[in-house]
Amino acid sequence: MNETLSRFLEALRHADLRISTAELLDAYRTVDAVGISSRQLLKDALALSVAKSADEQERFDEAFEKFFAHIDVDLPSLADQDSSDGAGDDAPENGGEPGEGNPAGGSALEEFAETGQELNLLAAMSQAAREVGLDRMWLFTQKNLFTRRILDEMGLAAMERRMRALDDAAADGDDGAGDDLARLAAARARAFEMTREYVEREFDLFASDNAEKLREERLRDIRLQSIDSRDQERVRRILRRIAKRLIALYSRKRSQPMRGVLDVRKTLRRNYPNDGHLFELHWRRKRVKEPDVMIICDVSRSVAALSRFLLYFVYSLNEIIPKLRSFMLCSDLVESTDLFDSLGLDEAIEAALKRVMLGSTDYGQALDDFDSIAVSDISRRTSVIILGDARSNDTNPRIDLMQKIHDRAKFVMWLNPEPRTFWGTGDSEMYRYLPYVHFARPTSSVRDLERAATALLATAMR
Amino acid sequence: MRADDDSFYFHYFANFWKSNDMGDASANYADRAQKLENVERITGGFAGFGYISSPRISTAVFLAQQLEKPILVEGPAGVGKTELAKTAAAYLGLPLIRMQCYEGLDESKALYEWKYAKQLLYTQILKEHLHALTGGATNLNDALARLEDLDDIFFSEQFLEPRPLLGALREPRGCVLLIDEIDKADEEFEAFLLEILSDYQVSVPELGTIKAMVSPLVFLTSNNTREMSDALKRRCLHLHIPFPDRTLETEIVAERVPEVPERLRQQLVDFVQGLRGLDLRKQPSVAETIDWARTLLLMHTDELGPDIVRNTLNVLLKFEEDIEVAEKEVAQLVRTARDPSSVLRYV
Repeated sequence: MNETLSRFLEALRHADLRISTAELLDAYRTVDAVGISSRQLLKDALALSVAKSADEQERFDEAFEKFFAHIDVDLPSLADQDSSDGAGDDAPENGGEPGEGNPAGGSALEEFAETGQELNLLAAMSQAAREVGLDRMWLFTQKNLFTRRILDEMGLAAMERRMRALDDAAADGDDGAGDDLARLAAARARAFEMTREYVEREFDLFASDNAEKLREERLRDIRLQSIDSRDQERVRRILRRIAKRLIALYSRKRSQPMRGVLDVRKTLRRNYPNDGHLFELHWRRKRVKEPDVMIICDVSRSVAALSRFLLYFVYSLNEIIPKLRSFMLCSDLVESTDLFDSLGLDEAIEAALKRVMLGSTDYGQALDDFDSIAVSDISRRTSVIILGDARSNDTNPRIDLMQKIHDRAKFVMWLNPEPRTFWGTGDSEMYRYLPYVHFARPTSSVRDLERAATALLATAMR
Repeated sequence: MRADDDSFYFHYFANFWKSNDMGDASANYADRAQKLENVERITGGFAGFGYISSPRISTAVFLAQQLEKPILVEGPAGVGKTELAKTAAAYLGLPLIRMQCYEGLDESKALYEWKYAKQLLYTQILKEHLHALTGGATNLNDALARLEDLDDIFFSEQFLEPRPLLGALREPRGCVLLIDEIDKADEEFEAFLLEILSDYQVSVPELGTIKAMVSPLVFLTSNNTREMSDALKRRCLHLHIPFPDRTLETEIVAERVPEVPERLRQQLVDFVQGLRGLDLRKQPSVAETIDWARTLLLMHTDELGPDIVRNTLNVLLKFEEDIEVAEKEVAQLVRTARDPSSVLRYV
């Protein structure tokens, strides 16, 4: 059972369950306690000790059914199969035997053709799979290759030689040979089918997540403006995951102690039972204030896609940034906070993008609008994020207003979708705004967004 | 005050065990192990106390005994999380020690506290004696030495106010410890629980480490108002109790309110199951189904009708807006509950 159980736990890891060494040991102890006499009991017991949430529970059930699919109810047969595996481990020369393709018969395939015992073939198959290193299968394109290798390992070549011989004999008029040939062909077809299924299942359990992981890894670095529409959902999923992690990281700290500042009231109250003798001191704590964030998104054609993701991301952080105001910028600037308050995230983003007048971008005008709508609300706790390319079509960039924002706010962050070498070229006013910005960075990928959010939270939560 | 003095530690436990026979404890534990020896027996035993258990729930209790691990029970309110612990206590014949968690719960309320007032009072009363004891002392060091000889009388058993957790560890026969609504407690408290949950022991600075003689059967319940930390989850078996399916719920109602005639029972369970399909702020739970069954019984109902349902809907649903949503569907749901085959006609 040990071998099977560790393979199952490996499969669970691929199903995105957190299986650490501790869970591994728990699983072994669980199986020790409940035995393997009842499938349902085993499933329930393992689920209780390794699946740690309702969501993980579902994935566990799915993986369990897939993994133990070929073992219907009679789990004892699993034990039998394992004991034969165990024997194979003790005497490796036995394990190699089927691979030899002994022409006198005795290879797993020949035996299967003789007896038709599918269970034995399955046992031989898992043995062969180990020999050819099926666990090195990584991508779905390798499925056929490994199917073939396993069949070879089980003596396919010898079997086919024999079939050719029989074919010749049948051509010479041997009737018995024709029957034998038909029997062998049927066995080969069935064995092929079973091996194929086996490899398919193994791929599902152990490797199907690899391609997805590779793609996600690649998506983190890709430029978000030029992303395929079919990848959008994936990017959002990544952003949601990052948001969840940041929330977990920053939601804990609600207050921090101020060393050496005595909280007189609390100290007195604490010490009433001591007859007013001050045994226990209580220090004052400073509440960590909720950050107050304003976000200005350029939604002109060149930046719109990125703005969409940024809005999505920042609003996913809602739990730790409850006070968030958003503004859309193009030829002028409008506030869109109300949309996000009343609509769902996706609809709100669409509605916000529609609300703004699309024309040639004018940062000076936009800052002027911002000045009249919101600048008076900027306090020492406010962080302002601006996402835009700072290309103002040669209008007055109103640096004075930028300075005003900078002077009032706690933190000003400018995310520019263009690489640094493009800043200041043509109509880009980036270098003129730069002195009034605390943090400026070229931002175009998921990774950049994450970095920006971390910088924001590290400052804003202080 | 000597923090971890072995002799004192022994003294402390000797006092504590004096009245208890050690043989008794192990006999009790054997009894408990026997009662929890397999899943079927647990299911049967719980049924005897009116708790209809699913295989997964029984398996969880079985594993908790075998692996000596706490069970973290999650699920919507009213599916019988707390009831599970109560039933386990009743079945095993062990005391149930319950600790309700809330924001701001800390060690002094959960573990132990010194009885400050009593300590002060006693020092006042015993002033004379203390004086007499130190009376012959010639200098301060001498007096101090004499006081030292007294042992830590003011930090001994009689001035210790045990709170639920310490009580659970000190229960000579073992006990069922229910830590209710752990998600309401602060994260600091959750971290503090880790030592108790993994080793069944706590460290008290004045007394040393106190280890449970018989490890208690621990249930933690959570309504999922916040995510538990991984460290806590890792130490527990994770049991999720969802709303029961039709058959199980019918059994539960039959067990809890046996006076309800079978036809009505079937109908009311069908109705509640239908209600859970609606988009409600708070879904009716098993507890509410049972309450409703009792209500219908009091009103001498023997068949579900739209009027009686509308009049008693507030037993099932706890929000005005939910009642509004449900009222529109009552006629349809009652029709389905009275005649399940009619569903086919509408589908």
